Amino acid sequence: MNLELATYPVTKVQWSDRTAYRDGHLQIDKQELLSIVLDDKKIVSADLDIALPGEETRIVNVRDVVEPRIKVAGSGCVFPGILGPVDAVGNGRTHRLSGMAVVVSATYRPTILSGTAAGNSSIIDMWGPLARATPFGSTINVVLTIKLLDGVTELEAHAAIQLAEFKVARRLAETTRELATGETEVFGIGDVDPSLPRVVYIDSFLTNWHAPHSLVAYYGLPIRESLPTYIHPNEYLDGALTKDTRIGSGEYTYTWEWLNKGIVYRLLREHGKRVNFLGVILQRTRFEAEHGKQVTALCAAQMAKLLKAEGAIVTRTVMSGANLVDVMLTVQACEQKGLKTVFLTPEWGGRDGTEPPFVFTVPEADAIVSTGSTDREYRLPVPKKLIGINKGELVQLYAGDQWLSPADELTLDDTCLTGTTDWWGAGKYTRVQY
Amino acid sequence: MVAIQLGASRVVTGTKIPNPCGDVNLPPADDRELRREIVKCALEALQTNLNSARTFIPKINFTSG
Repeated sequence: MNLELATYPVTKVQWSDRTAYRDGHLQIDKQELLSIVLDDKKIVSADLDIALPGEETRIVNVRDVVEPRIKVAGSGCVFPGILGPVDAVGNGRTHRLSGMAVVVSATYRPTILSGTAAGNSSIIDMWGPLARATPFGSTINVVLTIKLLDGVTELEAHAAIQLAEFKVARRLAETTRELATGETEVFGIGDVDPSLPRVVYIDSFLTNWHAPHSLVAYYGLPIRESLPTYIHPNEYLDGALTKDTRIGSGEYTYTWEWLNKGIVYRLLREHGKRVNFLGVILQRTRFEAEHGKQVTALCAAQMAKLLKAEGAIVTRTVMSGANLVDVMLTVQACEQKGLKTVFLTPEWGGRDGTEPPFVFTVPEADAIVSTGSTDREYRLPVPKKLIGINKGELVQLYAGDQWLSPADELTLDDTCLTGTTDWWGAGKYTRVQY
Repeated sequence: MVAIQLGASRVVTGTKIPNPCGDVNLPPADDRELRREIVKCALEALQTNLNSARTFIPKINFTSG
């Protein structure tokens, strides 16, 4: 199964009376896009803005970010199970608009008011220290601001936000449908030189059983308590993995990141050169008793061994101790089965980096790649322009937190800022040992 | 596991993270019995002289997950 991914770079975005792409220049008919969004009666108001890198613009109430992609040949569609039927993806040809992103800023009246099942949001600055720390400070952002109807349930809110942003992204990518040019790359994991080291990627991520959406979905189906699953890496590229769009906080993940997962691309590109990439084991974590943690760890390691893997790369998501235990036990189980295992993760460590980076470790985790600390603070200067909020309104990043005035200077840590936590090794952080 | 790594000298194993001293899946009477057993085990742990760290396991069954 091969997927041809064609990249159409976007260097300029402008309002126009028609939606079209030509030589890096994307024109957008604002009214056309808004009417697509307002088709959903759960959305009471919608607006579109353009935020450019370097501008002193702050985007608030950010729930998700997505890259425009569209399938032009092959089975299924981009975001299968959400924008179309559950047909296998990862084959044929997909177009992407690079250098830009669709950011969705959404507000609704929540029904869950505290705890990890409540919705949350984050902030993007297009200039200053934050713009340098997030991938979304250097993309041209088309920002969709929506307000939902009072009385929507939490799951309806997720579905409305996700459909709105995905439909806008699809419409923008649609402009490249007839183009045959574009820089193309072909991805697959077919037979290669059998002497190359056999490597599997274990994608561990936290999911909830107690929330309206579990946080991560496969073909639109929220993944709840379940055991590891084996998938083809090309499926990421076509959006088979998506997220709960009520959850916009910076310690979580964004659809853009699932589509542009650094580790998956790197392993695909090294397939047949330095490694024999065997595919991906999806592993749901955050089991609540030791028993579950041990079983998922054993199962992931067993699956890797059945695939005759010699090496494994393990990552995780969400700053959770429960999740870390599951992942550490997985690293241990893999090593005990003879797999050389690398764990790639950000760390805690406190404001000054002197506190423990992990709440739980195993002696077998002896090859860890750090992508930085999530405890760093950013001082965000006063913006000239605000997107996603009316003048004078306040924002609440986490349910129950104090309300902030986004027009002011702010001091916030990673968890409040979109895309600053680097779970999969594609961010702008590095770590320095003092 | 985490308590042991953090260096606690007397560790009593509970049920699960959201409700370590009980099991919401059990009928109230059985849950109460389970909670009593965990607390009794903790009281025994406190009365035990130790030379090194030790894990105390209450006599319980709990629904897993």
